[in-house]
Amino acid sequence: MIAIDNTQPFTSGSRQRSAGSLGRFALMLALVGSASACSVSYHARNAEDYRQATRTLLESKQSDFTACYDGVLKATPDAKGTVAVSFVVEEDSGKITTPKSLPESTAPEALQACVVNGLNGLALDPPDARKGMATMTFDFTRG
Amino acid sequence: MKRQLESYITTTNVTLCLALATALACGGTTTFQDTTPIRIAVAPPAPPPAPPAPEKQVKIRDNRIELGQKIQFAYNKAEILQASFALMDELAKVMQENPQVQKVSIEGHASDEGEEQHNLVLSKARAEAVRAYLVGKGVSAERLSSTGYGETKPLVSNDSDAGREQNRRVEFHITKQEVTKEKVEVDPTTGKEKVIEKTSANEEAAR
Repeated sequence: MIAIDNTQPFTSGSRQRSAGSLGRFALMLALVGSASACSVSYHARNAEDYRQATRTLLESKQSDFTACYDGVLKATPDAKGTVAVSFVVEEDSGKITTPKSLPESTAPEALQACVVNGLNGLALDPPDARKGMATMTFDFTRG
Repeated sequence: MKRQLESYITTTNVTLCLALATALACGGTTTFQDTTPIRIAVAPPAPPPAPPAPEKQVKIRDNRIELGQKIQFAYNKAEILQASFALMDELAKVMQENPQVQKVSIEGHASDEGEEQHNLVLSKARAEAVRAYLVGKGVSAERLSSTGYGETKPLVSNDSDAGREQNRRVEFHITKQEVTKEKVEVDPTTGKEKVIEKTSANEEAAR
């Protein structure tokens, strides 16, 4: 939100100069405030940094995805393959929403479902000022 | 006054543009795709446990070699059936692994079914078939002899099928072997056995 103080009429003399200066100061203050709200409260990552931060988040939950794999292996000992997922990283909150597995996934459906379920509730910290539209892939292998 | 107003308007426009740019930087969507998959690897499955070693069918006991199964022959013939080949192979292996067993007498026996003379001939032929098989598997011919006793040495009564089946057999008697005798003492402190005397001698049994 940018506030512009435009209530003071322009008059001649030193009072006018004083009012002009005050107005400019108010505008600059608003600009600085707006920029601060953007760059200090929330990160505004570039695409590469956003990808890396999101990958790091997913890698930090590797044990959860390994548990998914272990569970599937009990029923299907030779299960393996990839799970490609897309999801949204909400701006401001950093929460991952609407994860879904993509058709190019080759892993068993149970594994795909477990991965998708595991993505729900994860949150990027600190969040980003922009919404992220991510596509990531997991590769599940034995040995 | 005019200049001052123009200056103010210019400053305002620039500031608004900057504010708009900043606001735009805060919103919008960043699309990104990770090209390197996140690898989730688990340990390979443990190899299946090794199947238990098959129970040994051939055992050396004092002056005999005992078989856990009977050697099977074709009906009324001195032909070893394929079903007994594994047993015969194991017997040959035991003979080769135990050179202290120097001589073995292979003895064929029959039940009382059929002609006595025929049974005698058949039991001899079967014993010889066993000997030939073992020689064919690499056991020295000098270590083996064969004979047949027909129906003269039954183990049990021939009154039943089970009895007759039991009497039809081939036996392996060790007639000469090197016997190693060990005198052992138990160490009172460790509880372990300790060989204090070891002697070897040839024992020959008359058959």
